[in-house]
Amino acid sequence: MISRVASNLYWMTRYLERAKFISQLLNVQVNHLSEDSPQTLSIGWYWIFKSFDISPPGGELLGNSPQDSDDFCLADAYTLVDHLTFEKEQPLSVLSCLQIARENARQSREQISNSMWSQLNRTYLQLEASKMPDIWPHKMSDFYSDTISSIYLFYGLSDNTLYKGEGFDFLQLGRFLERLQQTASLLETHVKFIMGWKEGEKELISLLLYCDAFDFYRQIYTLDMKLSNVIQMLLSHPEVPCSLCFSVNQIENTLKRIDPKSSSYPFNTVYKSVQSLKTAITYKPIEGTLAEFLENIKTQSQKIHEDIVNSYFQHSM
Amino acid sequence: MQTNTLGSLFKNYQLKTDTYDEMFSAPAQSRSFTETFFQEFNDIPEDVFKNLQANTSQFFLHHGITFNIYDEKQKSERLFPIDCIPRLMSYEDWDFIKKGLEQRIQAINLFLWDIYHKEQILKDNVVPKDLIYSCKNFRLQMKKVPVPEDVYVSLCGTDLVRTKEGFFVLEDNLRVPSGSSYMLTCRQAMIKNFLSVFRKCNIQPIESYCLELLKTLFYLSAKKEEAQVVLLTPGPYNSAYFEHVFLASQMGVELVQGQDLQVHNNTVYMKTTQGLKKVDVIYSRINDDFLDPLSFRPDSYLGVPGLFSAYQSGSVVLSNAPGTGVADDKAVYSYIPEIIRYYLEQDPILSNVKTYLCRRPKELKHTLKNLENLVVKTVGGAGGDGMFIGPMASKKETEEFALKLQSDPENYVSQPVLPLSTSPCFVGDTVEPRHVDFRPFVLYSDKMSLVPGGLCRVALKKNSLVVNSSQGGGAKDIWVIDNKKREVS
Repeated sequence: MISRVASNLYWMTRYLERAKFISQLLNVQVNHLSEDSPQTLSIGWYWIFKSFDISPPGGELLGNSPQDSDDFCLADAYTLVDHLTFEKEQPLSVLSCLQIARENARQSREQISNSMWSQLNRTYLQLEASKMPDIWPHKMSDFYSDTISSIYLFYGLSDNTLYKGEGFDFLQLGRFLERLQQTASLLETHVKFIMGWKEGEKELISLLLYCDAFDFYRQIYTLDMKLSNVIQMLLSHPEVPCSLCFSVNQIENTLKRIDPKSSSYPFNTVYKSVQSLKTAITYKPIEGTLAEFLENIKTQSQKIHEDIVNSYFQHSM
Repeated sequence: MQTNTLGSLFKNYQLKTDTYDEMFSAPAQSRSFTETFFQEFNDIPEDVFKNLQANTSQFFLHHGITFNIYDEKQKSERLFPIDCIPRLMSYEDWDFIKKGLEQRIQAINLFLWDIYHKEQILKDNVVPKDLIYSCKNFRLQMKKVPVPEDVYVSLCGTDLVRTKEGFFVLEDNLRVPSGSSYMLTCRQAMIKNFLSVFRKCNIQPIESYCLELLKTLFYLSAKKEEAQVVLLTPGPYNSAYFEHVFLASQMGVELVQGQDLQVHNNTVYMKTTQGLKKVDVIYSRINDDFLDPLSFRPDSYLGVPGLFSAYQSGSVVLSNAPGTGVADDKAVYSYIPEIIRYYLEQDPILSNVKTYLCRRPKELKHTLKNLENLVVKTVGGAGGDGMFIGPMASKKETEEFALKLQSDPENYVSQPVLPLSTSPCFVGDTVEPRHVDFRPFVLYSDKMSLVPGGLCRVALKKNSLVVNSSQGGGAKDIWVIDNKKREVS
């Protein structure tokens, strides 16, 4: 496969996964708008912006002080939701992510199926045609659920309509590496900034909802919320699609499919990096604090990304 | 409530008096070969048809079947408006066109070989030497370069128009002709919409085009079916990018950009995830002056350094060959009838449009005198670039253009404005005549192959003769109807 095309496919699903993740976070956050105090909402916004390492429009979040009124809180939410959903200048907005995913798809269209292209194109065009006043406030939840479903439909189409060659493999790599990084980042933010001073049941449920893992948790552990169980599941449960373990297993299996053709397997750099990450997540006891551990996971996953770029997308004679 | 059918709309179809209509010979009198078609088509309820028309636009939008327009301010993707009433053509007309095109492409290939090798036609003064050597698209670098199978033009998209006097070739489009993907996708949409009409009328299929194209490309390589073929695109910002994607995926070949290729020891490689892979045939959709910054335009970022040298060494095939543009220069075009006579000793089957070469003083004088009735084109232009349309220009524009023309007459040719034929189009709530042209796609290897159909461009604005998609033009499917149901090769 042409390296540039492989790179396009990889970035296409990275951005789709990112759009899905942001939609998930926003969906949870807007559902909290009906009942949560300005302070709780503010914590939610803080989580979201911090886990992406970006600043909110205007530079700081309001709602920290008790005197902030509910009205102000809603107006603030409107701006923040709009910013993370439709703002074209914000590269992490849902619209920007879908636009970049579509542009990558456009550049490698001959490698994906017609139904995949059509699904992605339609999702983007629908989102581009939507405006904040159309969805605020009553259609917000449907809007994000539809966007998430559209992206899952795209994945379903890729599972069922695409030749399972390298093209599919690079889609998988992008999808699961992005998922791994986003989940690790969210967990790290949670651990660093929230856990220290508040470990309420509500925060744990929010964390699970952000990861789309609440239902899994109840199936595995019942509704009894325990921080250790939540962390255990999100880190190392091999059957939970949003766990770090699940993603790293998918990446490992994908690399096995790509690389037998090259002589370097299983000694190539990417594979070794993935093995090392897998060992850290699955087998080794956590060394140091949990925050340090998650920081290390993030660094290792960034190295996997760099190794993928160097091994498959860049060439020298 | 009784619903209107398309039949009742066709009853009110107003023919234009000065032009040939493709479907009607007189008011309310359809041409004889269209009988079965109208039996089926007339029964379609108007509202059903309107839905089909709208669905077709949706189909094109969702599948991203668009072309790109770039101006200084922004890029935009536009839909190619499709009119769901097909343009019909009798098999007899098609057969005539086919023979004419075969003759033309044969002669053009012989001409190209000759001017890049022996120059016999120039020595015999059939075509002036200075015309060729001053031509913008003549590539001196191609002199004596062996071309695989001596096929310079393996594919072209000839623009044809029809008047009451018959068919005329407007342009040969030998460099990077586009439109075949729209022909094929338009047909896909039409089959979906009019299944029963397709079953009843004997409409000639065109679906084998991509296979024929692939076979043509294989033929040019010594490795034949084992050859590694790629399609070289300028990239997603090119107006025909959709077409490049479409053709590459239909043929199952890699779609590459210049940055994906690299030349080492006169061999072209593509950069893949598994290392470098040799390339044997490049179907290039880049103008040849951008192909290789080392041999042609040094400012090209689209091409591949060293590609032309690899081509000269014979390790890679380029289709079409560099330098074919000299034969679709507008001034050289006027010599094609002579070129056909010279090499094939036959009279041309398809006529040229009367063309005045402004490099000749007499013809320049005629052009200046009649500017308001003529179309003036630059000799090396393509796709309506720099075209002046007399009847549409203001007095001031005409005066300004006259000055431009006088300062550089060698760069221009003029032609009379042709009353292009019309075909019924669904406009608003009625069916009205609109001017159309026709671009069949010719493939040439050891034999000529072309599918019975092509791209029909329509000037959607009333009375407009400009069919270009960038200026309000749309497209139609062309149905070649064979009432005798003969086998078509």
